[in-house]
Amino acid sequence: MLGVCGSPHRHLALYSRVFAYSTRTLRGQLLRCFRPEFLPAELTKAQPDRSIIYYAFPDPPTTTLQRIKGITTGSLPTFVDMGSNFGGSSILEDSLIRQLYEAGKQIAFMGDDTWMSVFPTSFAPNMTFPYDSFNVEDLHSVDEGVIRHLLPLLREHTKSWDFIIGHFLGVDHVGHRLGPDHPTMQAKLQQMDNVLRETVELLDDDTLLVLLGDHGMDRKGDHGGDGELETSAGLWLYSKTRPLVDPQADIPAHLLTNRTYPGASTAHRSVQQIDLVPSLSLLLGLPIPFNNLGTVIPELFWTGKQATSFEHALRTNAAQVKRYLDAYRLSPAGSELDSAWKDIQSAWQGAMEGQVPALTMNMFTRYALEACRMLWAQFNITLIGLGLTTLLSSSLATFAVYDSLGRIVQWEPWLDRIASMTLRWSGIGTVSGLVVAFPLRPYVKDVAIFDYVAFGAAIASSFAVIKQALPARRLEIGSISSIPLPLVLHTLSFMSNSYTFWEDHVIPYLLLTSIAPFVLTGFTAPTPRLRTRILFFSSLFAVCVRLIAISTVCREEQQPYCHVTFFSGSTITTPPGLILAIVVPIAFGLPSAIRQYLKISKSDQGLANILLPTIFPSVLTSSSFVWILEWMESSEVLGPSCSGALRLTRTTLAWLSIGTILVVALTLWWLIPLCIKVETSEPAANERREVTIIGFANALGSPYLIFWLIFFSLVFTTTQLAGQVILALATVALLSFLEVVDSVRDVRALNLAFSSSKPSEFLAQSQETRSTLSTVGLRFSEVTPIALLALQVFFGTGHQAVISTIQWKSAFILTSSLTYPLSPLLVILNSLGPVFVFALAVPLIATWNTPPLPYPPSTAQNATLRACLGISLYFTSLLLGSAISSAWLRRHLMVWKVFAPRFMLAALCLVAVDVAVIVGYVIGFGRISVAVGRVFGSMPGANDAAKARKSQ
Amino acid sequence: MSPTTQPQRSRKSQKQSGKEREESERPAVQLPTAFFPFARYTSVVGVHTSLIAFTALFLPRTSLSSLFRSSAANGQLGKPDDVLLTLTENPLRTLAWICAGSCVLQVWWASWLRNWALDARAGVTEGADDTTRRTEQKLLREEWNSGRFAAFRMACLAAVVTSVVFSIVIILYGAPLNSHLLRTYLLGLLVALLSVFSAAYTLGVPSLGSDTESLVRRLTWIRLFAELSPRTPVERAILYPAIGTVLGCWVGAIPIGLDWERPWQAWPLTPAYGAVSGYIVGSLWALAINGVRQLYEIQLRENREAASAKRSEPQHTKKKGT
Repeated sequence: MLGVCGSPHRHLALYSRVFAYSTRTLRGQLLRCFRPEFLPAELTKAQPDRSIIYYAFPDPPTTTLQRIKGITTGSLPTFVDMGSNFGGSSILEDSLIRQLYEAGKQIAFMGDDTWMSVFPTSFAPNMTFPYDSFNVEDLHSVDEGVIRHLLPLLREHTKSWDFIIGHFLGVDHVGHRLGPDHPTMQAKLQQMDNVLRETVELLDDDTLLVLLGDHGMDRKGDHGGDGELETSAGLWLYSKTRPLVDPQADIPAHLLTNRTYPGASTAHRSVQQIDLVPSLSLLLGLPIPFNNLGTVIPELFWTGKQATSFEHALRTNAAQVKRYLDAYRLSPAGSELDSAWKDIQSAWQGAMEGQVPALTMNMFTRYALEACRMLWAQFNITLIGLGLTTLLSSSLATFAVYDSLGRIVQWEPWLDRIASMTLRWSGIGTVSGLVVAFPLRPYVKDVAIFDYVAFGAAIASSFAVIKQALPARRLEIGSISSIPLPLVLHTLSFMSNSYTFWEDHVIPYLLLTSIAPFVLTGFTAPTPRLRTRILFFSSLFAVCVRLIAISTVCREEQQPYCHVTFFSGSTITTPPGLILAIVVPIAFGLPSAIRQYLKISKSDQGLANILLPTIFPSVLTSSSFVWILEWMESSEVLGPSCSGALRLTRTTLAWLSIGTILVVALTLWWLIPLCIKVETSEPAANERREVTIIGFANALGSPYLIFWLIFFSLVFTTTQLAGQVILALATVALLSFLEVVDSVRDVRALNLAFSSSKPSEFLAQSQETRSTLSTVGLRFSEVTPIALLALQVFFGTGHQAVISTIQWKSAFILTSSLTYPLSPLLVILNSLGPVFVFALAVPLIATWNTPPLPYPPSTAQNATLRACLGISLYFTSLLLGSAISSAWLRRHLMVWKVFAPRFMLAALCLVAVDVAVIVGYVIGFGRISVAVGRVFGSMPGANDAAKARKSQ
Repeated sequence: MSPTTQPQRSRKSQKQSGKEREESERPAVQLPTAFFPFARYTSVVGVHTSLIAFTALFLPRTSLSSLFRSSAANGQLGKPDDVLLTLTENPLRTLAWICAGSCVLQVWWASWLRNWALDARAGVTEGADDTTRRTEQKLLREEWNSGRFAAFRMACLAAVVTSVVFSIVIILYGAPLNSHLLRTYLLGLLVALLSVFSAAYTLGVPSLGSDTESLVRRLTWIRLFAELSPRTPVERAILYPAIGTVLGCWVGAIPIGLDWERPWQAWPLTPAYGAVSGYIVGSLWALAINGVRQLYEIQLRENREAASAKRSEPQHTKKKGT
C-alpha cells in the first residue's frame, strides 16, 4: 500500500505529503479489504467525497519487482529490462521516487527489501527499514516491522518526511503458503484493517493516504502471470479532511471505465494501476516521470461543471506520453513501434485538434498504453505447448538415432536414408503447417504463419525419425540398469527451486554418482594393472571434481549458506591470494601434465612434441599474466601511474596469445595433425624392412586432444584467474576420466573374452592393436560424466544461472573500450566457453586409445557420432526439463528469478553444445580421419590384417 | 557409494545363476543343504532390526542423553515436535548415540552371523549323528573360536579404516570441507559399522597376501562388494544390508538441498537416518530372499526324494543333463 501526504502550494500540488502503502497481494485480498466490514468501505460509505475505491489493473508480470517498477515509473517493465542495464536491478529510468528525491523530499520506506534493490539510494537513511522478502515461511516479521516503524513516523508532528512507503508482505505470504481461503488470511486482513484504522486516526489534514495492492493472486495464492485473478488488485485513496472528489463534478461516463471483478455481480469503477503515477505526481506538484504511460485519474482533478483543471492535467500528461513515445521511436528499439506508429500519430493529431480535449487526449494516452502493451510478451499457451512438443519430439528423435547407430551394422547408408527422409519430412511439415495455419488462424491468437511452418517442419521431421528408428527397438522391461539415473535426477531437479539454485552443489554429487559404476568395475578387473589404473584415475577424477566444486560465486538465493570463493570476497572482484600464487605455475605446468597422459600411450610424438613443450605453456602462461596485470591495474598495487603501461602490456599479451593459438597452433594442427613417429629399421640381409609407428594405439585420440587444446586455450584466455585454475583441474579430470573409460573397456572386453568360447584369440591380440571399443561399444554412462563436468566447470568458473554473474570484464581483454563484434564474442566465450569446450571433448571418449586401423575407422566414427548425439541428448533433456518446469510453474513466486533464467541458460547451453559437437565431428574428427587415411590407408598389408581381425 | 542401478542388476543376474545352480549342481552333489536356521535367523533379524530402529529413534533421547541436553524442558518427551526437537537439537550428539548403539548391536549381530557361517561351513545338519563328523566339527569350531579375538581385532580395525575412507568419499560427494568434520566422520563411522564390520568379522579382512586363503578371501570380497553377487544365505545377510546402508545414505543426502529450513535437514541427519533405514530394509530383504529360496530348496528336495523313491525315470535324466 502506498500512502502520500502533502500540502498545497502550487496550483496542481494538492498534497505535500503522500503516504503510500502497498501490500503484495491483492487479489483482492485488498478487494476483500474493501468488503463492508473493513475500514475503506466504511469510510467510502460515510465520506464519499474524501474516500474512493478503485479496481486497479496491474500489468503482467505480476511479480513484485516488476510491479514496483510499474507503480513508480508508470511504464510496463518487462522481465529483462534490456534497455537500462544488465548488472543490477536498480532502475536508472525516471520515476516518481526520483522526482521526489530530486525535489528534495524526504522519503521514508519500510517493508519488502525489493524496493532497496530498485532504489538503493533514494530513501532517507534514518527512515529506511527493509525486510527480507523471499522468506515465504515467515508470515509476520515484515508486517510487524513495518507497523513498528510506521506509526511513530505518523505520530511525529515535525513532519520530517514527505513521502512514506510501507510495503506489507504478510497477506502475500499467507497466500503463497496457505492459500487465500485459509483462516490465517482472515486474521491477517483483520490485522491490516487495524493498522489502517490507526493510520487514519493519525493522519493529518494535508496528507493523502493511498492503499494499493501491487498485484492479485490466483486461486492457489500465487501470482506472476496474467491470469484474471492475478491482475485484479485494488486501490483506495483517502484524504482526512480535504475533499478528494468534487461531488458536483460532471464527468462524462466514457472517462469512467468499469470492470466486473471475477465473481462479483456488478461492475465497479476501475483504473489502470499505473494511472497512479501521473495522478500522484501532479497532486504533489512534481513533473510526471518521463516514461509514464498512465493517464491521470479524472475524479481527482475534475472540479465543478468545467473540466479546466482536469484538462490542464491531462494535457501535461498527454504531452509527456508523446514526448516519451517520440524518444522511444528514435531509439534503436524504435522499430518495435512500426505497426502502431501511424495510429499513434493520428491519435495525437486528434488529441491536439479535437473539439473535446478531455475525450481525445484520454483516447490518445489510452491508445499509447495499448500499443505499448502489445510489445510486452505475455504467456502464450499455444506457443509454449508447441515448443514443448518440439523439444520432446526432438529429444526422442535424438535418442532414436543414438540408439539405432549403436545397433545397426551398416550404419552409414542408414544414416544417409535418415538424413534424406528428415529433409523430405521437413518439407511435408512446412507445407502442412501452412495448410493448417489458414483455417486455424481465426481461433488461435498470436501465432504467426512462420511459427506454424517452423513447428510443422521440426515436429514432422522428428516424428519421421522416431517412426523410422523405433520399431526396430524392442523395449526391454528388464533393462532398468540402463536408465541414466544422473540424467533423470538432473532433469527432475528443475522442478524444484531449491535444486535449481543449488545446482552447482547438485552436479558434483551426480558426477561422483556417475563415476561409481566405473569404480566398481575397477575392483573386478582381472589384472592388477587395470585395477590400479582404474582406481587411481577415478580417485584423481573425484578429487579434481571436488576441488572444482569449491569455487563458486554465490547467487542471491544461496545466502546465507554460501561463501564466495571465486573472488577474495563477496563484494570485491579480485582473485583470492592463493590463486594469484598458484595460477602461473599451473598454467605453465598444465601442458606437461597433458604430455604425461599422452606418454601413457606413447603418443607424445609428432605435433604433440612441437606444441606441448613450447607453444601451449607460453600461451597459457601469458593468458594468466593478462589477468594478473588486469588485477594489478584495477587494484593499483603499483600505483595509478603505471596503469597505462599495464593496460598496454596486457592488451599486447592477450593479442599475442590468442593470435598464436589461432594462427600458429591451428595451422600446424591442420597441416600435420598426427601425433605419431614412424621409425624404420634398417633391413638385415634377408628380412623385410620393419616399420614401427610410435603412438599408433592412440593415433586418433591424440590429434583430437591437440585440436581440443586449441579451443581450450581460447577459453582459458578469456577466463579470470580462479577460473583458469578450475579449467586446468577440469582438464586433468577429463584426461583421468578418459583413462578410466579406456581401462574399464579393457576390463569389459576381457570379461567378455573369458566368458566366450575362444578367449585365446582376443588375448592373442597385442595391447596396441586391440580395439576394445569395437568389442564393447560406447555407453551413455560414459557420456554423462563429460556432460556433468561441462556444467560443473561452468559453475566453477564463476558463473551461475542468473544474468548478474556475466563477467563483463572479459569483454575488455583485447581492447580498452567496447568494440563490436569482439567484445560480445569474448563475453560469450567466457560465459558459454566452459560448456562449449567440454562438449567439444566428447569425441575423445570414442577416439581415445582407439587404433586407427582398419581404415576407414568406421567403429570410431560411429562411436564419435553417438558420443556427440549423446551429449546433445543430455543437454536437450535438461532444456526440456527446465522448459517444462518454467511453463508449469509460470505463476510461481520465483519463476522470473529461478526457473526462467535456468531455462534460458539451458537453451544457450544446448546451442553451445550443438555447435561444439558439429565442430568436433566435422572439423576435428573429419580432418583427423583424412590424415590417418593418408598414413595408414597406404599400408594395405596392415589394413587388411586389421580388417580380417575385425571380421572374425 | 554405488548407484541404485547396481543392486537390481545383481539381483537379476543372481536370480538367473541361482536357478541354474539349483538345476545343475543340486542333483549332482548329494550333500545336505547348507545349514539354515530359519527360525533363529528370522527372530534374530527381527530383534536386531528393531533394536537398530530403537537406537536411531529412541536412544538419542533417553534419560542418559538428556543429561547433555542444553534446554531444560525434558519433561514433555513424547509429543512429535519434541521428539524431533531432541533428535535434531544437536546432530553430533544424535549421531554419536546412533554410532554407539549400532556398535554394540553390530558386535552381537556379527558374532551371530559368524557362528552361522561356521555352522554352514562345518556342514551342520539337523539330524547328523555321524561321530567322526561331529569330531571334525568340534575341531573346526575350536580352531574358529580360538581365532575369534584376532578376527574381532581385525574387524574393528577394518571398520575404523573404512570409516575414514567413507568419510573421504562423503566429502568428495560434497560434504563441507572445512567445517562439520566430526559430524562427517561419525556418518562415515556409522556407514562403516553397518556395512563393513559384520562382513569383516564373518568373512575375515581381505589382505594383499598371495597365499590361498587371502586370495580366496579377496576374491570373496570382490565378488560380494564389487560384483554384488552373493551365493550363500550368510553372504546375502551380509551384503544386502550393506547395499541398503550405502544406498540409504546416498538417497538421504537429497532432501538436504530443499529450502524448507527444517531442523532435521541439519548435516548429517538425513544421510544417517537414510543409512539406518536402508540397513533395516536390506536386512529384511535378505531375510525375505533367503526364506523364499530356502522354501524353494526344501520343495525341490522333497520332489527329488519323491522321485527317487519312485525309481528314476526318463524325465530325470533330462534334468541331470542340463
